Amino acid sequence: MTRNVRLLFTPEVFQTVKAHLFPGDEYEHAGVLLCGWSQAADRVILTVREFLPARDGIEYTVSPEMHGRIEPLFIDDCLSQAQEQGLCYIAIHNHLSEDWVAFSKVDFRSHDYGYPTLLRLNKGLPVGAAVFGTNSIEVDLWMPEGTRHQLAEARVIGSRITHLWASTAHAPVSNDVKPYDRQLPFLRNVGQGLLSRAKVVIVGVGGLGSQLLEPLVRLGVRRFVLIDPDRIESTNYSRLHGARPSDLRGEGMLKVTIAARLIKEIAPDAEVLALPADVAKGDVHQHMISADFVVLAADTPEARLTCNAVAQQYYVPMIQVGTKVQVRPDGRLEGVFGAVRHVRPGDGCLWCNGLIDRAGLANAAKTKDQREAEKYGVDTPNPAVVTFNAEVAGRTLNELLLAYVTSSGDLTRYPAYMLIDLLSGEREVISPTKEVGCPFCGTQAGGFLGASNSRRTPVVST
Amino acid sequence: MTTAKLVMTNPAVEEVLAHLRTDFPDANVHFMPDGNGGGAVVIESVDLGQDYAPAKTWLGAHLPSTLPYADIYPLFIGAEVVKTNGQAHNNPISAGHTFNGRPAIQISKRSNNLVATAEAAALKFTKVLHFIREAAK
Repeated sequence: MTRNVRLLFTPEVFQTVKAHLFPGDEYEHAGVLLCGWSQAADRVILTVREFLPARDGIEYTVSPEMHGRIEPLFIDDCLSQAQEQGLCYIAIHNHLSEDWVAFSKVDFRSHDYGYPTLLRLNKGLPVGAAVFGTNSIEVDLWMPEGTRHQLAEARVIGSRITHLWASTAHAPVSNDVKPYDRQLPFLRNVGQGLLSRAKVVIVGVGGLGSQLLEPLVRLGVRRFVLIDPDRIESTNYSRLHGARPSDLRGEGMLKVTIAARLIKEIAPDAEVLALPADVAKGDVHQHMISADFVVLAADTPEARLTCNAVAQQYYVPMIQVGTKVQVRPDGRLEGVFGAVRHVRPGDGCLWCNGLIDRAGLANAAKTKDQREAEKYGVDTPNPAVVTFNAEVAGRTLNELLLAYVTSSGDLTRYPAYMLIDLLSGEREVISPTKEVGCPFCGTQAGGFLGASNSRRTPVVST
Repeated sequence: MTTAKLVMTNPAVEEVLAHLRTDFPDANVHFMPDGNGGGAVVIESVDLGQDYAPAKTWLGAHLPSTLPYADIYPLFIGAEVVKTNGQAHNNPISAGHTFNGRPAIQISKRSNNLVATAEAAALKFTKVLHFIREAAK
């Protein structure tokens, strides 16, 4: 068995599961999770889309020997729903343990007996089981090709990400803590370990995205995926961290190459995948699926569409960032604003909040000639200033840090959007809108939320 | 030798086309794929009413591969269309453009709040046609 399953929950579903399994009576209870599933990098990723509780004494019964079992009719009903939606079937129950949990021999015997049949019935979709302690989870996942997998980590993707393991022995630890001596009192060893193992994807390493790199490396992040199709130009040299005069020679160095070089100069041991590509084209977005955190610093509507879908579809925590210098037609300054927006499964959806320009999406799918033929009005480049980017980048990094490494099981939904007036320094924290029936963050059947590979992510071109 | 990559038309685009064929039963709905899952559609002909000459022309637009999330923006009609009262077209109706190789008048009407369905996307053609008719009154 390989220990490489990542099990992801929304806070709402996780709280429902916990309330059903641990109502305070010290008995075992059970149910079924329907999960989207995908395989990316070294992980099998399960996104819990729905929890179907088994009613005690009817759908979950206990034998005189005190062995619980989920009744066949309930299993059949759950399997039908899994197949209908292209989801994975995970039977769950609880043990009365806390920070450590494991399947019993009886559990494993029942898996060996029943799961080959369930796998056949679920027609090419994984099946498995999960057992919950009050603060731990273990998984036994059976893949269609016959391999079995255990839990690497479980996460509840709320305002603060709650991290769970089969036991605390599986929590990541940082071996080399001396360079981080001054930040350890805040992050603690587990937090530093989480950062050292984290894969951070940065979409857009221009004026804002490039400012995130050095602090992340110095915090201890060592795995990066950088996505940006652009090359440096003389007009953005003043804002691009890590750029050198020689990068402007010829057609200009790729921004991801400059970013990767900056990371490697600080940390030669860092793993960096530099992709000179558009996240909204082809299957480039697949590199986001196994990310521990994504920062979307590209400001095109098509990047927002694709990344927002990935965040909702694969439960990838993401922060969308941007700065805007607003100038009136007469040239006078109107205002300078920054935005730091958390996009979490079921919360902060960019679509619901009108932050994906639909006419811009239409434009992105056209040829350059057609766009020229349709020109209407005058396009002027957006003003940009490195110091404004720096303030927004700083807030973004702190938000990432707080969200990823400081949870102590806090499942509260805090307001997800921060708007910063960069002239007055005032900040406004708001709760984003959530539209009923949103195709991306809505819970209706057929939506993107937690659907993983069962839905095609929208991209501009294949 | 090079081989062109065959890209299937986005199912949502196909749905929009089916709705257009229903919504404009007397017109020919031509579709020219763009190779990226979307394409140009031309509905020929549509009736602009007696405030325009000629009253009948074509109505076209690019159907993006990102439908039903993208807007269908802008739409076009034949370049020969003038108002019968002799006045020029007003914004957002502007002359001097081309669409899919044809001289065209562009109608730059954005719809950022339509629900993301093929049906709503197709309805935009009817709404824009109504807007053009009303604009000449």
